[in-house]
Amino acid sequence: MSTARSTVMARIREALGRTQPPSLAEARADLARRVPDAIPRPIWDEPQVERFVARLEASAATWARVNGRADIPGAVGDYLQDAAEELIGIAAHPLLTELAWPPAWSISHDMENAASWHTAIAVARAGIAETGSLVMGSGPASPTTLNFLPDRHIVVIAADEIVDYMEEIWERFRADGSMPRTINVITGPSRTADVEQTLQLGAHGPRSLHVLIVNSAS
Amino acid sequence: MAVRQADFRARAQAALQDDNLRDALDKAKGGFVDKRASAILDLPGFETLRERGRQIKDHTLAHLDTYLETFEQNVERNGGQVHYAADAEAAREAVLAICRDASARQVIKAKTMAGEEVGLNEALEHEFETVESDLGEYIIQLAEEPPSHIIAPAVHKTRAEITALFDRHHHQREGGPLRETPDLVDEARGVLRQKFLGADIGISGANFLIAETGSIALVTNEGNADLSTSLPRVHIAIAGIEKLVPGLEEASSMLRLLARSATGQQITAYTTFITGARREADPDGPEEFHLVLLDNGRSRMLGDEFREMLRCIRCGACMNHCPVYSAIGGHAYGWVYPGPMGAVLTPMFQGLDKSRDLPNACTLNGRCQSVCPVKIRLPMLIRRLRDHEFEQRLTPTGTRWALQAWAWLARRPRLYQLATRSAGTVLRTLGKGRARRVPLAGAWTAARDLPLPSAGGTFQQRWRAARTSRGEQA
Ligand code: SF4
Repeated sequence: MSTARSTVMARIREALGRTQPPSLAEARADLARRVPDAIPRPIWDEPQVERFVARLEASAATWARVNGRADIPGAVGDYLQDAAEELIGIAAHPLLTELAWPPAWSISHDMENAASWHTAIAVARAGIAETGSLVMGSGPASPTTLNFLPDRHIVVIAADEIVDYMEEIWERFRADGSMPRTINVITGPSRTADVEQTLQLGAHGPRSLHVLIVNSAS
Repeated sequence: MAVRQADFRARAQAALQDDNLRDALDKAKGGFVDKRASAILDLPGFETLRERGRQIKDHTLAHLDTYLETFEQNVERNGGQVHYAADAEAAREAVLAICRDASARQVIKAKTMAGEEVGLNEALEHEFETVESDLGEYIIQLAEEPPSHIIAPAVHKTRAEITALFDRHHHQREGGPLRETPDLVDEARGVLRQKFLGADIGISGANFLIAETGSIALVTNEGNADLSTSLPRVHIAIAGIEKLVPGLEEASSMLRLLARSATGQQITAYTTFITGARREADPDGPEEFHLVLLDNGRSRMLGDEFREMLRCIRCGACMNHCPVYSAIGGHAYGWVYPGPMGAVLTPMFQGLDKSRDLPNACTLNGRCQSVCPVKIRLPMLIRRLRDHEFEQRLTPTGTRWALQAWAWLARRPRLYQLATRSAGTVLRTLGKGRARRVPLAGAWTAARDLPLPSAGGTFQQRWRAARTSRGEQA
């Protein structure tokens, strides 16, 4: 590797007073000795899904519950009201592409057009009750820019994909064997407080976030 | 970015007389302090979490070589490239070389303090159209000013000033009507959206580097970092080597600390984990991912008595709770890192001889340490720097500005309450006969006969005593 790398590494080893780094296993053992197993985290009494929607609301997102996947187009129509007037982008996710969307809607799955979509619909990999967050893992069925380009963002999540804490999503990604390029943990619409510390929604990303919780996605 | 050090006291004086700045800082400070206070209520174990944060960072620093190697391997396994930079110039050169190789024309930047530290913008602007995308950074880029706060870079700008900047840069006019916040945000959104779509290169910082997976964690509320790192064909991240954490679980703990301490949120709107470059089947994302790992003095701190400063996660809580920062603002500190953390970091990175006023821009009241999410003993580090100054005979003389900051503070009821402890600490320090080593006190006692208060008594009593001794009217 480059000389810059060896220079920096040599300085670090000198500062730490050694010539060889400890193994990763030794390092992890030291960490385990230093930090207790119990992670300090928020706790709550209400059922998981209630916590999740309460945190969603606190983040200025809106939500609705639907019974099954067939109810998704109707719930989207209720939320958008003027759906036929819009350009709607839909992630190429099997849960969405196989649905019967109203023929009058202008729907696209092609990310080439994403910059002109008013509304985009995507599917979350998981939800986090602790914070009311949606977890989106990038890939063909969930393009990352789709989460940021549209004015309105609608995210579908299966109720049984909600977990308590962020740590639990790491188990899922480890089980996949690799991380996707991008994991977006999204909590509410885009916002800024950069003008006189006044909170304003819709800075660069979506101006609104609507979550559809599907009781049974199968 | 060069340190603007020589005229520190002049800047502090000017800041104290700037009413716009006063109002802006006053407003911001209350917001940050209150929001943090209520955000930690939902986490009864917050103190335990701070201890965990301290342990995680101390452990990582003690195994920095191990974790850097692991991190690097994982970045490369996921199609990314790691570039080490020993100093600021090497970091600038690494970034410029990547941009040139990509035949880039337009660069979009998300906020990066490491980028500010190495003066990346000045280097890029010579060759490439370079635009900041964080709204606060964009505003100060138009104003051609450095950031005044690490979380809220344009905290010192009023709506009228922002309106004037947008008039000049977006409409080539002067004196347009004062605009409301939503209109200003919308206007910037429209202008910057085109910049995102047109950029070849996106540059970001990283809040954490995760050794286990080779991922970077990035937090924003605007979503600008996400557009910057996913639309352009090349993504360059720049981060100090101290940003490492061992694994994903440790990152989660640190993120709970960061969001609460920085903006008083449980989590920011966007918390993003980026691992390498776009995968083959991905419909979007950059083809190249480069990570520039910055040393620039950090390895030296690792080996000396200032190591714990490397725990810093750049949350800004110490400046939000600092009475001196709230009186003079970030620009007076003269370099990219203001407030208590800057009073330590600037001498570390720039040399004590170039920043000798900074360790004295402090009343040693201890609030910064009590809110720091990784329990950095900032007052102790600042005292050590004063000791070094004393040994190197760098102690400034006649430092009166801190007293003026204090006088201003005492007239603000809310800040006044916050600072109650500061009076006790400083005055007791005087009482212990350490005045010669506290330049503020040295200047004070040289000109006046200050009665030393007893250890008891209130701030008001002490303050009155101090003011009487200085011959001021109530
Ligand atoms: S020193 Fe502590 S409080 Fe200050 S920015 Fe760093 S982590 Fe935050």
